Amino acid sequence: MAILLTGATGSFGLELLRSWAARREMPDIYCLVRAPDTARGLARWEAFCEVHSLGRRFIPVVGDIEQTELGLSLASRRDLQARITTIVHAAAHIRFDAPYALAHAVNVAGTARLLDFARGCAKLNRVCQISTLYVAGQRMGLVPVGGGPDGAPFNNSYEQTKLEAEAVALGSGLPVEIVRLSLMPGRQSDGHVHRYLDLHMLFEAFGRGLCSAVPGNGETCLDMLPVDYSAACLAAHLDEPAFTPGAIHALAAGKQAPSLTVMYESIAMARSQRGLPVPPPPAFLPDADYAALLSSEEPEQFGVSFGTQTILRTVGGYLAKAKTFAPSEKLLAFTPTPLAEWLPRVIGFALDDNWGRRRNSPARMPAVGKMHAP
Amino acid sequence: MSVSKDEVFAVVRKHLLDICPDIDAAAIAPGVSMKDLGASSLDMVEVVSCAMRELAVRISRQDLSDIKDIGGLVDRLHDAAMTKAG
Repeated sequence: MAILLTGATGSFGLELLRSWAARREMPDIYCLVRAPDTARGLARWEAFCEVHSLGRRFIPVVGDIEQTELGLSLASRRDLQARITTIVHAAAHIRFDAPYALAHAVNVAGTARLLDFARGCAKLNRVCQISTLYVAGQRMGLVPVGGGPDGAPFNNSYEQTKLEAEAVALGSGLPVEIVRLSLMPGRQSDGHVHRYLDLHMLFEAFGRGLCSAVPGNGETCLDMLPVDYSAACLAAHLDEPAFTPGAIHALAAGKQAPSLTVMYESIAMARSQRGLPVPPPPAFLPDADYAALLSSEEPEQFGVSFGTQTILRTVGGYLAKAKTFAPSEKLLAFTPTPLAEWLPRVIGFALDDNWGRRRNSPARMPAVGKMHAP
Repeated sequence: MSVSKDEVFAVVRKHLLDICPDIDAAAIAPGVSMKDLGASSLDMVEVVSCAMRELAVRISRQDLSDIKDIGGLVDRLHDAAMTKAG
């Protein structure tokens, strides 16, 4: 088996590589690496492998799904097309605040370019398109495996373009399967966070007392899984040669998804262990009050900082529109570490990493809400 | 009421130092990014949001997502302030 992996340097791609690298034997893995030119691409790849202790077993291919023919020369493209049997497409523009055109250029048009490349792969037998559970948008309640927004609007351009990308892939006529992933804030093994995104900002705001009110209630759940667990499950799934073209899978926590109360407790535990102040539990706002918070010129009246209000406008829908995702049980190949262990580990890593700041001392921003002593 | 770019820069600088008091004030310059100065993603959102509030302008996160440094932010805020001033 020879796999072409896109998105190798992203959070999920990295964990897939780590999962494969831990094996004595593994397939040939070609990793599409984006860079202005080959020299810088190879240098970037070498540095990435060095930092993450990946060794030299993976094969870099400098290219870009945003470019015609993936930015590959004719000879390189043909050589690669002659080898590849499986494509795992994990590259995506994952920022929730991206303008639609930018998200579309990567997530939809980029997928289309990759599928054009795939059509030239003579030995291709499988395309695994990585997507997100949250293509369901603001739909509420139980989302069955493969379920879409069912008429509900999207929270952001990421969700919308990922659903559009699924449609492009499924309509390509190629042997495509879709694997939808949960939110994955970090590793269960050591709490490592590869990139800090909107969800981490919300965690940080919680802990710093900048977000004393949220939509939903204490039992509202947010589907999330450890990124290394999700990658291990996908790697095991790819080991199975038999698959169903056209299938949509959900790597979801389902009923194991953490509630807002559990998330708060995880943040409180990680902060308390480090002697940091612990904010009181957030107030849970009914829909009308939450709408008032979002439109307020003085969100501090709700115990929410002005910046956190901005973040809630992008991700608050994930809490306000509560849903439970039905998981594809056969993809959950392993038992994940209980959330009460791994989420505090992720929060703890982020605290020790100072939420990605390039400095050593913790930020000392005045809190909006009251803080408990550690 | 019009506002100069220098005034917008001063607003951004003030909020950056309020939110990240341990940043080297002398290093704050148009060609530097807040990230390079040691701000987290949340810090940056707070700075931008507070600056927008003080300048009474609104720019969506989408329209700010391509900004590379403080100078780019100042330009975007100044443009919005001038547009509003008519």
